Amino acid sequence: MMWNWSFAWHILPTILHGMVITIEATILGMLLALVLGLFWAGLLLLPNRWIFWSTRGITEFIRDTPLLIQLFFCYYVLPEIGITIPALLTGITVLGINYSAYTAEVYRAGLQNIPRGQWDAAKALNFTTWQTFTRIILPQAIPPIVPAMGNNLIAMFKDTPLLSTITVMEMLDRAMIIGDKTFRYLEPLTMVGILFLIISLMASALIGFTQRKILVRR
Amino acid sequence: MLHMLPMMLRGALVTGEVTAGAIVVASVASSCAVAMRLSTLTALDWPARVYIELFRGTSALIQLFWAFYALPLVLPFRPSPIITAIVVLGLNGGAYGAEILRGAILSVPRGQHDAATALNFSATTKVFRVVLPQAWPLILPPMANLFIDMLKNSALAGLVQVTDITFNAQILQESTLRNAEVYGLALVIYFIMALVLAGFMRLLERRMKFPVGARI
Amino acid sequence: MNHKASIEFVNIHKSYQRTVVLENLNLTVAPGEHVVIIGPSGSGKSTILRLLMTLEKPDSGEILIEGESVWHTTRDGRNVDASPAHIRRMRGKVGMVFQHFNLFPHLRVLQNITEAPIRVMGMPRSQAVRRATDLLDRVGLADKAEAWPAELSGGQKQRVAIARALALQPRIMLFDEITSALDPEIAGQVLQLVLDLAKQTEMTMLFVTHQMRFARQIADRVLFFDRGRIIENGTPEQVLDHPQQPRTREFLNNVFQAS
Ligand SMILES: Nc1ncnc2c1ncn2[C@@H]1O[C@H](COP(=O)(O)OP(=O)(O)OP(=O)(O)O)[C@@H](O)[C@H]1O
Ligand SMILES: [Mg+2]
Repeated sequence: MMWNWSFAWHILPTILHGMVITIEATILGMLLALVLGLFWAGLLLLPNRWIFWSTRGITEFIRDTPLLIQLFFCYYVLPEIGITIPALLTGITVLGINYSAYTAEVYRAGLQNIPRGQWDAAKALNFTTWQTFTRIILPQAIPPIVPAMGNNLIAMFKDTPLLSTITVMEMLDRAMIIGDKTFRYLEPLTMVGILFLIISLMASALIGFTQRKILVRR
Repeated sequence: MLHMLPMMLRGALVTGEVTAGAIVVASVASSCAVAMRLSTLTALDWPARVYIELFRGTSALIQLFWAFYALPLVLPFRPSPIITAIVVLGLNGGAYGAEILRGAILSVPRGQHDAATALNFSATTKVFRVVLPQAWPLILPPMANLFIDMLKNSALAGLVQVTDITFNAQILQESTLRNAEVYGLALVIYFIMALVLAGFMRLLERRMKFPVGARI
Repeated sequence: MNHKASIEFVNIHKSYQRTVVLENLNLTVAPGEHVVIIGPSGSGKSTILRLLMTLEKPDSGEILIEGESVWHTTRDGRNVDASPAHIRRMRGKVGMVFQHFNLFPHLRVLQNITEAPIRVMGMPRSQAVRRATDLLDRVGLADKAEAWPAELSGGQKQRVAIARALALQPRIMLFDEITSALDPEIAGQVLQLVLDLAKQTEMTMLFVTHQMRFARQIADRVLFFDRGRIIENGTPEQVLDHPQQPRTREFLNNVFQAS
């Protein structure tokens, strides 16, 4: 079976259409991961052992179990407890929760790199804890972690094909549908692979660029 | 829920097999790739680069589907699902492993290479007695993470007819419709397997330690 | 053998990317001679030692050790690149002690010393251990055989590094600023050890150092080096006390002011 160019051209629009959903899922999933991860990181800072260990336990469990099973779990169990949302939204939520466990670690490392003196200085100036966190600590902690967050974004992008298993019509799902219908899997699957390769290579280059920028600035 | 356990545990055995097999493939692939990457011959360097970028730049599931659905159309034979899964997941992990190895090997200071040369060590002695023993402590922690990622990635094998935890969970879910129990149990089993693997890697790490000074 | 020079550099050129380090360098060292190289930072002193140790390869020119080219051999009357085996044989004649010691952190002190005799010379382990123990005794660290390098002080590390280099019984020893990472007092002790060693052996020795007192004590000849060229070349008295070149005088003034 040889590569068929006209067939490839014919299916390209369908696959590109799937790419829109792939990118949508990635961006929304990452936004959720960024917010929720910061929430976990904040909980880990609180001076309460019980909160600390339960937060650790939750994030550890999320990181040590397969995303695929987490997807299945939510896809099948959410409707049982009365939550009926579109599959895409379920997918985005699970992606976001899954990656929040990783972004939490990144935030934590970034926060730990802020010297104690900064907290002390803010206290000496009579800032509230909330003000200290949002106006003094975070603005210093965020820039150095941008590259690590970028790597998480790429990793999440590469995990979006899993959403095809819960009927989300992203790129891989469309490729498989084409394959099932025409019995030609080579072209659609290869094209999806190449599209992923192009985007992640470009994104990696961009991260490398920002990383050098940040290193220069410090 | 108890009656699900035997089937899930049979799946866990297969998951273990796929993961172990993939780890072996990944170890071989990453060792070869890093040796090629660090060789001075560009003819060896660039195929290794292409391999690493290809597998890191695309997604494991796409690689697996490609190998399962598209590759047999160009191959003269059809490998069994479990072999396909082990090879693909192994090559995927190997690409990440190669970067871990490379980073650790390159972080061994130049002075150590100089000392080895000044003592007239052969290239092999230098690699195996000087560079690798010092790279090990830096390799093991990220390798442990990679192996756990590979355990989690092995769940994808269930999507291409390998009868692992995921596959058996899907069958149980369809026949019993007890969604929460089936997938909850699957999550717990994966979690326990990950903890065991992490514990084993930590044991290995502890045995590989030596007192490292700031500057030797 | 004795009529041959121990070391010869013939028209050596060496540059890194854009920086030219050594330009048309010629240098001869007699067997058993102790030569001290001094000069400002970045002048190429280490590069000379690293070239001799085959840590670097010259861009052009010949390096001869005991009359034999390190990088070239003649085959069918033509000058060709030497085989790796030849280079390793030549390398075996030279030993080196580094500024930052470069001990192997994953091997205990004794293993640091026995590793090369066992693996490079094929010496039986028991004999290598005996020799290493003797050497440790000589550098005053007999009780540290089973210690890890990280557990040693800087001075102790450098003593182990000296013992490690001696274990291969090289005919030429290179010392690259071996005390500049050490406290002055500890440095003095290590230098005394080297002075004693120099008296007891017939090895050819090359030193790069900023310690002028040590240079005076040990040197048969002092070379002042600047921007990859030998500016001054003579006995310690000639170079250190009666320098001919303004550049040398300026450098020596700076060194004496600093110490
Ligand atoms: N690996 C290298 N790559 C690029 N440039 C180098 C390298 N090694 C040395 N150089 C450059 O070559 C020049 C000579 O270096 P060398 O180490 O021989 O100087 P040195 O006289 O030993 O100085 P110092 O007293 O500081 O040790 C310097 O300008 C240095 O920056
Ligand atoms: Mg130097």
